[in-house]
Amino acid sequence: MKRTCPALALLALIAATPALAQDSDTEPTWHLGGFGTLGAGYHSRDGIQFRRDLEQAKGYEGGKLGFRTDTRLGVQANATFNPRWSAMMQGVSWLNSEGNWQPQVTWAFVRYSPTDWLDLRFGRLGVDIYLDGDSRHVGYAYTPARPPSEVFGMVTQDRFDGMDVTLRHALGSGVASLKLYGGRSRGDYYLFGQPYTSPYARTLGATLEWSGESLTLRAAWGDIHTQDDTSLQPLARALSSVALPAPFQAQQALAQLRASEIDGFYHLTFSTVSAQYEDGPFSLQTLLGWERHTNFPGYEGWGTSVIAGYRIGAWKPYVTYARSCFGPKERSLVLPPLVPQLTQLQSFYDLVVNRLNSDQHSFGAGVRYDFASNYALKFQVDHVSARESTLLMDNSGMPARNTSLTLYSVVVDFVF
Amino acid sequence: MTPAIRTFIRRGLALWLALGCACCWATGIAVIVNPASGVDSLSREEVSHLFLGRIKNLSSGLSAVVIDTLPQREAFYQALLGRGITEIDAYWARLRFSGRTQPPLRLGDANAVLERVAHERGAIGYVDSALVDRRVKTVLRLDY
Repeated sequence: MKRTCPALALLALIAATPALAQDSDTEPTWHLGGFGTLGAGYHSRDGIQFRRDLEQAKGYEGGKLGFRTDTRLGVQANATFNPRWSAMMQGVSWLNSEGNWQPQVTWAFVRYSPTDWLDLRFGRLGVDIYLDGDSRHVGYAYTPARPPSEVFGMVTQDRFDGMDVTLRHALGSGVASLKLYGGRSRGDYYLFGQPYTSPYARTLGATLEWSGESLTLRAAWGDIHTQDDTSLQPLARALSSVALPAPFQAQQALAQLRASEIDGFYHLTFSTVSAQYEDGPFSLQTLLGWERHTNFPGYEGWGTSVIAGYRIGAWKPYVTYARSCFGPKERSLVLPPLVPQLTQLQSFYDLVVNRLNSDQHSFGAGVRYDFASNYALKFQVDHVSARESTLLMDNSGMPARNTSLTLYSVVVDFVF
Repeated sequence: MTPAIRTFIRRGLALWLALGCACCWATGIAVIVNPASGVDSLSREEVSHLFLGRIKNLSSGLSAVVIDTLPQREAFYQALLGRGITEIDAYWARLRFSGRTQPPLRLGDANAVLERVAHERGAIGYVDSALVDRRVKTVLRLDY
C-alpha cells in the first residue's frame, strides 16, 4: 500500500499509549466489515472516456462495455476499547491515477470521545465534503450509481494525515455540530495523460452541520495549500527568457510578467452549502459549491447537484442533475509567431491556461433495487454534455471539448 | 336472565376487554431503558437521535448502549421515522464506513434485549409493548 507509514505509525503509537489501557474498563470489541461495487458501463461516443473523478487514469471507453470505473472493494476493521477510545482502519482498492488497483489506506485513526459532545480523531482522515458520508467509495450509501461527478469528482485530494475535532450540541429539535480538521493532504490526479501528485500540501477545513429528524443542513469550507510545486517552472523559464525585437517589447514585457506570476505555492479552496431532506419514502439532496484555485493562471468556478428519489418497497426510482463551471482568470498573452519556438511556446501557454477548464452538465435517471439485505442493484442512464471537461478525456488522456454522451450503467453495491 | 347467564356474559365481556387491551398494547413498540438509568421519558426526537447515532449519551448522562431487536427493526424504524429498513441500512453505511460511529448493537430476539437492558444501566432498546416487564422501564411508546 502506498504512503501509509505516517498514518499507521500514528495509529500504532496512540493505540499503545498507557492512557488508553488505563481508561479501559471493558474488553475491546472488534468488527471486521467492508463494502464494494461491481459496476459496468457503456456509451457509444468513440474516442471519449468517461471518468467519475479526476483521479482515475482510465474510464468507460466509447463503444466498449467497461467494468473498471465504478468497481471497487473496501475492507474495514473497527476496534472499540471502551466508550471513550476506539480505532478504525480502512483499505480500498479502486482504479487509481496510475491505472492500477493497488489498495490504499483511506482511513486509519484513533478516536477519543471524552464527552458526548466532543470527538477527537488522529491519523488518516477524510475531508468532509460529501453529504452522504465522508467517502466517495461507498456506493451502497448513495442513492445513485455514483456521486455526481461534476461536483464530487473534482476534489480527489480528499484524505489527509492529521486530526479533526467535532463539537456537538442540541439545537432546537436537532443536533448541531462543528468539525475542524487539518493535516497533510493525500490524494492524486490524472490529467493530460499522466498521474500527478502534489509534492507537499496541507489541508485545513471546517464543517457546520445541523441534523433534524428529516432535514440535514451543512456548510463546509476547505483549503488545500500546495507548496514547492515545480511543474510549471519550465513554462516560467521559457517565458522569462523570451527576447523579442524592438516592435514587440510590450509582448516581451507581458511574457515576463506572466513568468513572474507562476509560482509553486497555491491554494485550492472550496465552500459548499448543502441540504438533505428525507421524509418517509421521499428524499431530496442538493449541493451548491464554489471553488477557487490560485495556481497559475488562477481559476474560479461553481458546481451544483440535485438528487431526488422516492422509495416504493424495494425499489427507489431517482433523478439526478449536476453542473460544473470552472474557468481561468484573464491572463492573455499573444506572442508574435516569428520563429517556430515562439509558436510552440504560445501553444504550450494556451494549453496551460486552459488546462483545468470545465463546463459540463449531466442529467440522470435510474432505479435502485434493494434485492437483499445489504445488497443494492442500480440501473442508471446519464446524458453528459461538455463544452470543456477535465473528467471526460480522449484516449490519450487529454481533456475533451464540445462532446456529449449517454452512459448506461449497472452496478451492484454491497456491504458486509 | 339467570345468574349463570349473567356471570357468563360478565366473564365474556371481561375477557373481551382484556384481550382487546392486550391487542392494543401488542400493536405498539415500547422503547425501554434500565430502571436505574435515571431516565423517566424520552421524546421521539431524542430516541431518533440516539438510534441514528447523533448523540451517544442518555439524557441522564450515561453512555448509551443502543440495541436493535432484529425481528422488529423494520417496524421500529417505520414507526419512529417513517423510513424503510433499506434506507436505514444505507444511512448506517454512510456513517459506518466514514468512521463517524458504529450502528446499534443487534440482538436476535426480545428476550435477549430485555435481559441486556435489565442488566446494563446505559442500555436502551425496544420490544413489543406486551412483553415489557418490571425489569425495564418504558420511556416512549410507538404505534405500528
